[in-house]
Amino acid sequence: MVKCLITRPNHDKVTEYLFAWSNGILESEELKNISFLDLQGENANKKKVESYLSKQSPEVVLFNGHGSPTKICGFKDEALIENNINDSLLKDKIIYALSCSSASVLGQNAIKKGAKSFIGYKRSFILCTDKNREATPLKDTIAYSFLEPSNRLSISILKGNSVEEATRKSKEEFKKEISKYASTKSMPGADRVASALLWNMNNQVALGDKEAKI
Amino acid sequence: MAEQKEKINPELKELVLYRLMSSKLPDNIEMAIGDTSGEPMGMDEIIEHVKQEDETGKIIIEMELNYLKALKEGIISQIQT
Repeated sequence: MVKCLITRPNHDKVTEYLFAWSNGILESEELKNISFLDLQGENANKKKVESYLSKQSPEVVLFNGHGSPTKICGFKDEALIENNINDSLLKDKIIYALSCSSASVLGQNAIKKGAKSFIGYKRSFILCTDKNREATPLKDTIAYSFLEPSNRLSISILKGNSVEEATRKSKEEFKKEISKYASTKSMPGADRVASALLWNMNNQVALGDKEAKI
Repeated sequence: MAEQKEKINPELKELVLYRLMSSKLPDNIEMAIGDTSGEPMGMDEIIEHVKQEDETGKIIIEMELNYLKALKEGIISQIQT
């Protein structure tokens, strides 16, 4: 059985959204053959991540949380993986980091240290939300447009598609959502949302072996 | 990380501010820029960041200019068809 480590902190509004939407991956009917190692809430900490990466050897790692060019964060923004500190733990793995900017430095170095592929964002990931839906993030149709393309990518990889195919599917989903908001017919000022979606799509990159698959 | 080190062209900044200030985006829609401000912001706060040209403001300016460029180059039309 393929193992997938997923980190899901939930200590602020943004991470609460990522936490809620990542349920769509864990509960996907298409992924019944995947064994998820789910580090949620305060369990999304450095000690557990390092332990799971070294002892459980998951083939795929999905990070959700804040980040920077040199780190991916967990609960209360503790650095889970840091450039030149513990990035060699990503060796031989396919990684998707829904985490700001981590593809720009950390991702590049992870590949140099043997990660099969690192998919992430080379700049900030922007998330638009409806504040009237904060208590029920899964009913937030604006957030759907930002997080469904991300879920599509994770599910595609875990279904056995190549990294290249998974990113293609994700970008197709982004385009569908951009198209929805590129006209102000959907709601006034909708092109603000479209511009943020275009930004995310353009900043999503796949590093390393694009033919990699589980 | 300095997201954008070069000085912002004042005319382009004004263009972005005009677009944001004339935007009729509903008040309930907020935007979070992950590695800078963190928490979701409303349009008034976004406009303040752009005026101050801080890290968040620079990202907003770059994002808006990229979108305008994509419109001009027909990329948005291609996506829509």
